[in-house]
Amino acid sequence: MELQKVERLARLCETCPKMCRHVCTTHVVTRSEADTPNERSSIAYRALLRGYFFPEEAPYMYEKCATCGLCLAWCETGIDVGEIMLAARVDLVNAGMAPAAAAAVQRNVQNQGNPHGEPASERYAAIMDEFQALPNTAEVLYYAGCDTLYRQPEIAKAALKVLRAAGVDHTMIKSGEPCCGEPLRLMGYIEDFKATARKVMDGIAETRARTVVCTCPSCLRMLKEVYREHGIEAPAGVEFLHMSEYLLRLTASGQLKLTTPVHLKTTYHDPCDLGRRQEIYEPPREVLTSLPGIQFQEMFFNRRDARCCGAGGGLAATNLELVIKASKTVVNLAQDVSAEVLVTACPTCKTSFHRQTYKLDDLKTMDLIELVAMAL
Amino acid sequence: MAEKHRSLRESILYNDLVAILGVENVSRDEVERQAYIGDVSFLGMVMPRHNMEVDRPDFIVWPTSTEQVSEVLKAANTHKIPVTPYCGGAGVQGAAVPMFGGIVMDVKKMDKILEIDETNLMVTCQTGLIGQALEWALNAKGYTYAHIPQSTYCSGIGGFLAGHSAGVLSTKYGKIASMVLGMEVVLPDGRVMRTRAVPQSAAGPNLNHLFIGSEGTLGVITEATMIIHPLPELREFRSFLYPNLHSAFEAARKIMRRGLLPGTLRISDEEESKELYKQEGAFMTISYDGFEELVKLQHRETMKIALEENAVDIGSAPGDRWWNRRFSSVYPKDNGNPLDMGRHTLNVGNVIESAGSFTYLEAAHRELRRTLLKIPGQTFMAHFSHWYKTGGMMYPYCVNSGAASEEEMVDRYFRMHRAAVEVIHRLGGTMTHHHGVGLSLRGFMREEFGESFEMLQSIKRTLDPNNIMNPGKLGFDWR
Ligand SMILES: Cc1cc2nc3c(=O)[nH]c(=O)nc-3n(C[C@H](O)[C@H](O)[C@H](O)COP(=O)(O)OP(=O)(O)OC[C@H]3O[C@@H](n4cnc5c(N)ncnc54)[C@H](O)[C@@H]3O)c2cc1C
Ligand code: SF4
Ligand code: SF4
Repeated sequence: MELQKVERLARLCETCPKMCRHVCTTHVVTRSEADTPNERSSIAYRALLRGYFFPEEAPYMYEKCATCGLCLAWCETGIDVGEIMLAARVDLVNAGMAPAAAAAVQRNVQNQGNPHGEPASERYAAIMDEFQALPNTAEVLYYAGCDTLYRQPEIAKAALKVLRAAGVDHTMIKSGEPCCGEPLRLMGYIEDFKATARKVMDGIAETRARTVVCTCPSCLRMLKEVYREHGIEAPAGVEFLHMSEYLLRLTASGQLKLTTPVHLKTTYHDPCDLGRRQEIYEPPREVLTSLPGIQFQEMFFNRRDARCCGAGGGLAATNLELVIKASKTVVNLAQDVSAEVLVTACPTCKTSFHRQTYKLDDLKTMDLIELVAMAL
Repeated sequence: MAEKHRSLRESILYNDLVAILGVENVSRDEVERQAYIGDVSFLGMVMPRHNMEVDRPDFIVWPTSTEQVSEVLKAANTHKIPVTPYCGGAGVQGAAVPMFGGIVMDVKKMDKILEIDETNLMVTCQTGLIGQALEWALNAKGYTYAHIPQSTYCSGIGGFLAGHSAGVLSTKYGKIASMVLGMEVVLPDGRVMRTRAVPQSAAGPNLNHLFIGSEGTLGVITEATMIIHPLPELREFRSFLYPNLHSAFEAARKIMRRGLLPGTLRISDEEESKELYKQEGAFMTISYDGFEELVKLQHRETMKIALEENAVDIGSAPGDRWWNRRFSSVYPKDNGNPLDMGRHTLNVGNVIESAGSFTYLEAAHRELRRTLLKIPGQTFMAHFSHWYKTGGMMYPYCVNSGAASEEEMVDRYFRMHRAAVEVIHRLGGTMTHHHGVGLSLRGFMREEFGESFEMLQSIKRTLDPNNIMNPGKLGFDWR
């Protein structure tokens, strides 16, 4: 079983008195002992010992863990329960026991190139003019990702606007940007994930870009780290950056000038895949606080301790109800510091928070790049 | 998982519960029932992992209000089915094990902080809050409730109250019993009672004390008002090495007698000093917290006493390290952990902590060590924390290895406890300072209480005539 690869983690975690239950994204919502990091590991470990899963255990592997890494951040043993869940999902796929929602994600990526099942032809609908004007090859590649293009296209609009304003020689994958494959990995379709990863790398090679910039932390993590862990290498000499890191370079070199005051009270949410998973904590803060006129205050839980938007781990596909409840935790923290804008740097987080804040008069959700575009 | 055959009676009860709580707050899911078979005790967690058969609860319920708790208890009386309250499930004595199945009532959805009263230094909250969640909410406003057991990440207010727990700062701030002012309790028949949240009252006996330590046998504690403190300006540690345990005890006695109020005062016996600090002698770590001048003065006075007892000053580093890593020992380790209770060992273990006078502590340490080490495969190592003017608490890790079968593990477990409790009672101590009774010590309650146990049992029978509340615990009627 794939779980054999994480046997040590699951075996140790089973003996823990649940020392990270107080931070677990989904446990703080459901409060069930079955939804603790420890019990998740225990279910997986028992399945490994017996050699198979009971059907009723499958939802606990798929629909309850946001793979947010909060447990890992609090675990002195260094156990990542998310990793155990991903191994369990591979085994469930292999056993033909993946839930329908997981199979739908796989089908959608295979058929339409995105996990949402939106038509492939509409990938660039919201940015068509800008997209068509882009060259085939350029120094910098902006990789937008499915969540940005289909759910939060304002992020892509803002990113292209900022790159243009800074005079950066940039493009997107003109032959059609493939999904980064993260949804497939999260759902346990590991071979399909590798196949799509190869397509992404081919697409990057076509553009001859030296720098790949992502606004989506999960895409970045796949391209920069996870592909390599699966033996898929990037074209030689290509550098992968999050937009916040790249913006810092552009402002430091004077290429990007941000002069229009943005009079807003903000706070910043660290996306799990950007913060805990890639330790990119300071660049987004530096960019945000450098905007003229901006006010900024940290939430009580920040950086390594930042709470999760709830939508990690593919939960938006498998258990949306749980995501909606979990995202309230962060929205409440933002309200505690009287922020007007909850700033994040991830399209998935933005979607999660927006589901809460669109009903509010005094709190909005924005991506960092949108604020930067306002300050041009 | 083998689906249990369900009776019509159970299905009717399920629907009664759904009517009270809504379908989202009642579960009969197989995986969920498995997750609630026990707590983190040897009997409640380790033994089921070794395939010892245990009853799974039939239903899990998550009430969100006092009214719902009350209605569930009424339904349980109608159906004459047990109810086991469950908070963090991190008890180490098996108090939250649903021995006879029935309903597990998880209180963790009752997690609201109702008021932080900064003028009068009180917080009122529901009892399902995990300890650290309350502490963070208070810290955000500049306060602490100063109850920091090692289980603050995994246990909750209901468990602290019903389990009579003690935090690592208890010498200064007290145990949970002296931190709580008022409580709301749902009695076994569903009636709701409250005690007044006042600094002190002479209006008869303090009923808080009937429910603190009641381990879910006398009702469900739903709300509590507790004392809070402004976060201290300074917390400073100092460690000393004493030539032997006796001189460390003498120093502790003098420190308490002089009215110095350490937050932490932790003495390791010679075995633990060697194991943890690689030192010959008895290691002491002490901390004071509060405003700077006071903390400095307390440390100066402590230093005088330590020197009188021929201690060597080790400075602040070991104490700082201990404080920063005070939860570390709990996380699972790959190997070399004497407390490893994984399914691949037949180790048997528990902390048989007890309390008594200074005279008791010294005698009991000697006698308990001698007695337990006679048992084959037994280890013994202790520390002493939680002090009072009159004495303190002893915390021995008692691990036994070499059992040949699962039955023998349980036999050895009780043999160890029988031997220890005999010594503790003979020397005038109490068999538990803060871990409580649960399944481990229920058989010794009559010896602990003597004649007065009948009184306690009759209170239980009066309040809970159908014996629905956590049956079999605290030495009350088995079902
Ligand atoms: C790693 C670790 C470290 C520990 N460190 C300490 C320590 O430093 N100090 C200490 O005192 N203990 C410590 N303990 C023991 C344990 O945490 C305490 O006994 C704690 O009080 C248990 O709380 P819980 O929320 O986990 O309770 P549970 O295990 O859920 O329940 C304990 C008992 O209380 C009852 N109960 C729970 N909630 C309610 C309620 N609302 N109304 C009525 N009854 C209720 C249950 O039925 C059960 O009988 C430690 C345990 C672990 C695992
Ligand atoms: S992840 Fe670590 S802290 Fe959390 S339950 Fe497992 S071992 Fe314990
Ligand atoms: S990864 Fe996040 S959601 Fe999953 S068990 Fe850990 S803390 Fe909980």
